[in-house]
Amino acid sequence: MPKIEKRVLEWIDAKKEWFFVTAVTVAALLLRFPLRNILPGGMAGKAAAMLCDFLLALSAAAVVYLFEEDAVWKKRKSVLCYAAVLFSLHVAFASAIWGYGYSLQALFLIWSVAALLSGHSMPALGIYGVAVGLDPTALIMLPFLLYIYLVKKNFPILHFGLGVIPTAVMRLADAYTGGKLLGWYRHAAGAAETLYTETASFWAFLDGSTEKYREYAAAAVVIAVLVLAGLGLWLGKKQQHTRELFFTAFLFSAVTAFFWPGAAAGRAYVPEILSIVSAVFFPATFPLAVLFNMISIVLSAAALYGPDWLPLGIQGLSLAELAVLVLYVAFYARYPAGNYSKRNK
Amino acid sequence: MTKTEQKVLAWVKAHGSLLAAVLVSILGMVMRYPLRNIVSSDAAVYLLPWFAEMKERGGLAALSSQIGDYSILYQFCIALMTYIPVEPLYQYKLLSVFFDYLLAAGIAVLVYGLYDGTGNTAKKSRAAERAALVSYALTLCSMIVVMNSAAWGQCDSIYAALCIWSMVFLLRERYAGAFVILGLAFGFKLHAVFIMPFFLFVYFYRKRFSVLYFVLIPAVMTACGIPGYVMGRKVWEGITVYVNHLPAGQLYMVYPSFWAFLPDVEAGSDGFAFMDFYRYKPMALFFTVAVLAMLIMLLLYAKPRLEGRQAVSAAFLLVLSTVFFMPVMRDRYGFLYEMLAIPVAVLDRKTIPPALALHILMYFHYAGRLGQELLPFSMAQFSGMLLILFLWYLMILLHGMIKENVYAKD
Repeated sequence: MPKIEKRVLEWIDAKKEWFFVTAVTVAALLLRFPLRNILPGGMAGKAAAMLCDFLLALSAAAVVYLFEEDAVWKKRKSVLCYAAVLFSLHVAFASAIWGYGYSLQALFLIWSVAALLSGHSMPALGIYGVAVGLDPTALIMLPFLLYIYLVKKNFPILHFGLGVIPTAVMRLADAYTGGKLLGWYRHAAGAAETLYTETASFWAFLDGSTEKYREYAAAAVVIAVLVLAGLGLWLGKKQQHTRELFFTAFLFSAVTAFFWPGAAAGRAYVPEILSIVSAVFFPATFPLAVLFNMISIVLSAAALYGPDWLPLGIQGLSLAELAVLVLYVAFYARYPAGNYSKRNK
Repeated sequence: MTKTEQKVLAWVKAHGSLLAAVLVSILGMVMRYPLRNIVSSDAAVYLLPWFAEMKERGGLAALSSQIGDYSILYQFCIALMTYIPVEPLYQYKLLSVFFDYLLAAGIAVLVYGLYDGTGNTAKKSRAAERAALVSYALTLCSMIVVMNSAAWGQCDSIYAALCIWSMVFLLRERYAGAFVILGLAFGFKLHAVFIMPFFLFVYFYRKRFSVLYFVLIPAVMTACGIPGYVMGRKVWEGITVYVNHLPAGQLYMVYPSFWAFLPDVEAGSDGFAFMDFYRYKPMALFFTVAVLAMLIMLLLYAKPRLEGRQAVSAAFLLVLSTVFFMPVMRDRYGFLYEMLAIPVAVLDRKTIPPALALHILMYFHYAGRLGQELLPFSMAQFSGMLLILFLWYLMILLHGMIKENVYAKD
């Protein structure tokens, strides 16, 4: 090999993360661009949502860089996380095809969790309030925030009041332009008309959930609360540092999305992002994260083309998600066995 | 026991591997021979009519124009076959079966070279010999290989054998040979492109050979068209003929691709679906680029030892990812990674369960295709199973590399 070529290759090798990030950023743009016309919709909204995808990926990468304990893999994991979030097909579908602003809400939630776990409870809950103001599905993070409040005991409950302020301001602005002040909360609180809609849910096993909603809603809320309380009690006994608490955030949000009644398509968006961050922190959970994300991608495609061809059906996919959640819990029950970082210490 | 008997037994013991190889080779033929009369739909609709047309137009003289959609080199083989007074179907199958043996031999040589992690072929242990023999037997007697060539009459073993031999040369650092053989593989089928990410990875990772070697590939591909040029074809046709290889209009076609979670939309079956294909194709293409980029980054971090089994593991992961995620993949495009799963399993026993599962799944696939019957599950479910196998392999192989190469010193 000529010397000059070897030098060029060595230079590329030294800068490989930079090349990688540039390449995946360009590829992510090119991936999204042709998708924009699959469904009609405002291009400005889709462009803004796509921009938020990139900010979300950057934020997830920053979180990994800040909280990864393994010095060898700190930078490596953060660039891989950036790519993984950017190329999550559900992220791409939500922004480029549907024009949904899920990534904006997820962005605020990631910042909120990161700030809370860094010990900055006031800004964390303020940011959380903004996320809830944007979309009430952000309430799926509330069980985790309460868990942190109860376990860490390092901030007063009054800080939660801070979250109400931005939410109230945003809702008042919405009400001023004709929206219902509290109407959207009813949906999040389980007062929807169906037990689940186009999403994997524990309640998908009840056939004809629309008719059964009235009868089962109260039971569903109680079951969800009991499952979350059980999860909290179990997790409360474990020694957890920041990375582990990120994983806990994922677990709480995923369990809430799965068990809380009235779940609609897109509710699992934030848990999916957290599952990617968790997979980067704990590579052993990578296959589970892929499967967890695939369920939403399949459902997202089914929403585009109709449920007739849906592999496994909604019940089958719900069962698959339940299995994935059980495997996540099994992984964490065995943790930290087989963890790279621990071995490297 | 008589002295002669003792001598015979001693000779058998001393030449056990050779005898076993001969026996396996005979068994391979025993498996294939009864399948010789099966006329697959591909043979009936494409291969046999192409043969008849070539014969009618004067054998080699027919090379002046394109018949069928295969490369000029493969057309040249068909043209030569028209002069042999044997059933065309048998000739097609014999050519592929010959390459089955070459493929099995290539895999055996690959395993033999990589077994002890030295990458050389100097006299090795009996264990290396046994591993090579097992690989030879598993490849030759794999139902996928048997069905592909002897029943289906397909020629996937040709490009796959050449790709494997090019890997053998590449890993032994005989770069000119490696690229000439790879060029020959391209000369037969464009599917050889599936091994390219591995060649590019070795180029960036080892930094021991010049990028100019890659030029040998189009040069050999062009040279493969010489019989056609002599008969009046244009030189660029040696490469442009491959454009016809690319199926259009579908993200996947009877293949458990990652994209099977989207409906299997037929080109032109309705305008909406057809338009959607062209919107999804860039997505699938760039997603594949991203997956390969992430995998290559992980491999660079995992620092695989290319003198040992990790070389074939890296190649397997890259080929599997390429085929699984690339758009427009069709029925037998996974042949190369299915073959690479054999040396990976022999060299890394942890991968025996996923390798078995992969071969059984693909056997179902082949059986379904040959029998013209649907699989017992939908393509999306089939794809989900392949995704699980992909993740399984990823965890075993990458975890193994990182554990051995990055954290072994701690």
